Amino acid sequence: MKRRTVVGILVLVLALFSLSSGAAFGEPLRVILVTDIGGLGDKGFNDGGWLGVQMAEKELGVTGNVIQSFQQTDFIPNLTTAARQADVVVALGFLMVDAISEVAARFPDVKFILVDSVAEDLPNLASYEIRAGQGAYLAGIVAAAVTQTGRVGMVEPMSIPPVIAFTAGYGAGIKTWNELTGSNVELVVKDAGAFNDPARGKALALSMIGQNVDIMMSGANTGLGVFQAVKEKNDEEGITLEAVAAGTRPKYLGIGLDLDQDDIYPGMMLTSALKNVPEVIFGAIKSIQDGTFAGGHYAVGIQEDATGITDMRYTKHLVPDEAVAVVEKAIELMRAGNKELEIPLAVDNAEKFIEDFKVPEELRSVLQ
Amino acid sequence: MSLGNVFNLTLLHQTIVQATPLLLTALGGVFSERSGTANIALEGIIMMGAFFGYAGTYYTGNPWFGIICAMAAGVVVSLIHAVVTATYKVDHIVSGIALNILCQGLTGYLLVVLFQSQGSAREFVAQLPTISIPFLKAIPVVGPVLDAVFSQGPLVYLAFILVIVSRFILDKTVFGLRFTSVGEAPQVADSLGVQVAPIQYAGVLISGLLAGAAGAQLTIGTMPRFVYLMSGGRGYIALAAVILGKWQPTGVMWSSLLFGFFFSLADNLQGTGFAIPNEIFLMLPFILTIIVVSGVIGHSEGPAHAGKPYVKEL
Repeated sequence: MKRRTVVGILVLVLALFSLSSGAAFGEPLRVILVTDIGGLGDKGFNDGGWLGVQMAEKELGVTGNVIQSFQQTDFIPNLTTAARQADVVVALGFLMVDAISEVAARFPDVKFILVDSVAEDLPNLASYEIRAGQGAYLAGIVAAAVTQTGRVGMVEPMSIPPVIAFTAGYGAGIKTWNELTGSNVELVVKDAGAFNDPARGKALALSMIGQNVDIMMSGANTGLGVFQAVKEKNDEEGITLEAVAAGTRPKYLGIGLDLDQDDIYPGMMLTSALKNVPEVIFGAIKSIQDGTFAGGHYAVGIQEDATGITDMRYTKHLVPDEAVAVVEKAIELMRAGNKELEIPLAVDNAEKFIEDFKVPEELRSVLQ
Repeated sequence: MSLGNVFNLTLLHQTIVQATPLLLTALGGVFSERSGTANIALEGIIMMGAFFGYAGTYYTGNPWFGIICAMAAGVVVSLIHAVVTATYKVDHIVSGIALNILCQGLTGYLLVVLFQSQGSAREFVAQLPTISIPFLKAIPVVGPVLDAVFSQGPLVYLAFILVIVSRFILDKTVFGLRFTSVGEAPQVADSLGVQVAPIQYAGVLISGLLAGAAGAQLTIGTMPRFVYLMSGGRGYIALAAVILGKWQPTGVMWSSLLFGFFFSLADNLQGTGFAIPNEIFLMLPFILTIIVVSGVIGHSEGPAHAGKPYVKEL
């Protein structure tokens, strides 16, 4: 009897919650994006956020708007203004964590969405972290299949658990290709120790190239130096961007992280492991409209279209069909919720992770 | 791990590349310190040089003009340091810290205002050319080695030429010898009719000029994009190179090369499974500097009056 009462109360509470999401009753949801100081036009997370809101406008019929911040002291006033005018407030990134936690606590009736960081645990505030290691896993398969020297590299901007998770996924992808094809591609990892030092990134990339590595993944501003080294070394071999566009195979290739960086040096960037900010925001807004929204922390991956690799629009011809088939099968397994391919958000020791990683049996059948 | 992966031509080439911004900055540091002015604003000046080297190239499309902009920016910042320390006798360290904070804020602000971006400027600009000596590669056996040494950007060559020039100026010219007299005993120099403040201005401005060039080496010489805070502590490392190099141009050349060697060695050792962690090699230059300063091995003592404002006694 007692248990039944508890369950009854729970059901009632849940019903009330879904009622309070309001949107079900005709009025379109009002969504406001508050940018960080990068503002719109950054070709990065802020633009990605706005794209997500626009997707929701088109497909879900919400009304979208944006408030731009120009300095950190704008965050709280802008979030407050947004909360007064909207049903849903969207913000992005690490800089917003404190501000959004504070404002969300003051406006319990408004839903808050934060992407790519973790804010406070509030019933009206959902934080989404992206399992970008899954994208790195796919990039690892591609890199291992494309390398000509049998050595691929990772220049970690900084060896901290969320970055090491990329290395872990990447290495697991390489291991997968090795086991499936009996090849022996090695992973070389170097740590730049700074997100903002492209000169260090370049030095490490040149060091790797001197050690016979031909494909290098990196990210953040430090990664720009890595890709610069890739381009210069290709240039030294007489392989210019024009030659690559005309069909010459580049000797060295870069792999981007977080954003689609394939356009930095078209044809010399093999692919990028992505964080799909627009898709994550779209999904979050949809959950509010569907009434399935709940505050808290979420880890989203390929199942939610939150990560992946680019379409390789400049480099697809370099990738063997077998690798494409393995990548497709891996995506299928990830979508089906395969536990082994659910690369964690943070990894402490990539080497150990890769060693313990078991290549899913389902992938073995692809090449047989 | 194969030794060929560690001790290779990349190591040789990168030693010189990584030493260059340190050497340019440290040479400037020698002039400043020899004139009795401690200049820890070098870190900030590198940032400014990197930014204006990038911006100058961005607006004109000419990286050579970028070098001039970078050096000019360095001179402007160092002029503030000179005015504050030589004319108004403010503590050198206080002024240096203030300028570092100013440069950090200013480059970040200008990045937003001029390039609508925080963190990094998005557009690539033209880069300084690599100057290699064509017939070197053809020489048997040593050809590739010489080619690894001598295929560098113009600022790299400039840095090493300036070592000889600085040495000549400081040791053989009246102008240069006045630096030593002002840095060691300004009251004596003053009583002998040497104008102390102009020499100190000259020392600080030269340090700004060269640290500005070091900044340009980071952007248009290495990576033709500006990234916020990309100086990465090189100004401070250069000061350590000044101390280890015993305030001598040739000395700082060797210490900069040694730092560059250790950093490149650490780069090459990373990921090779070598038993000694690469961080040890990143620490070595500083440990070495501390040992030398403390007088355990060798002896390194700076100009007697460096870092102290000179107030004329009436």
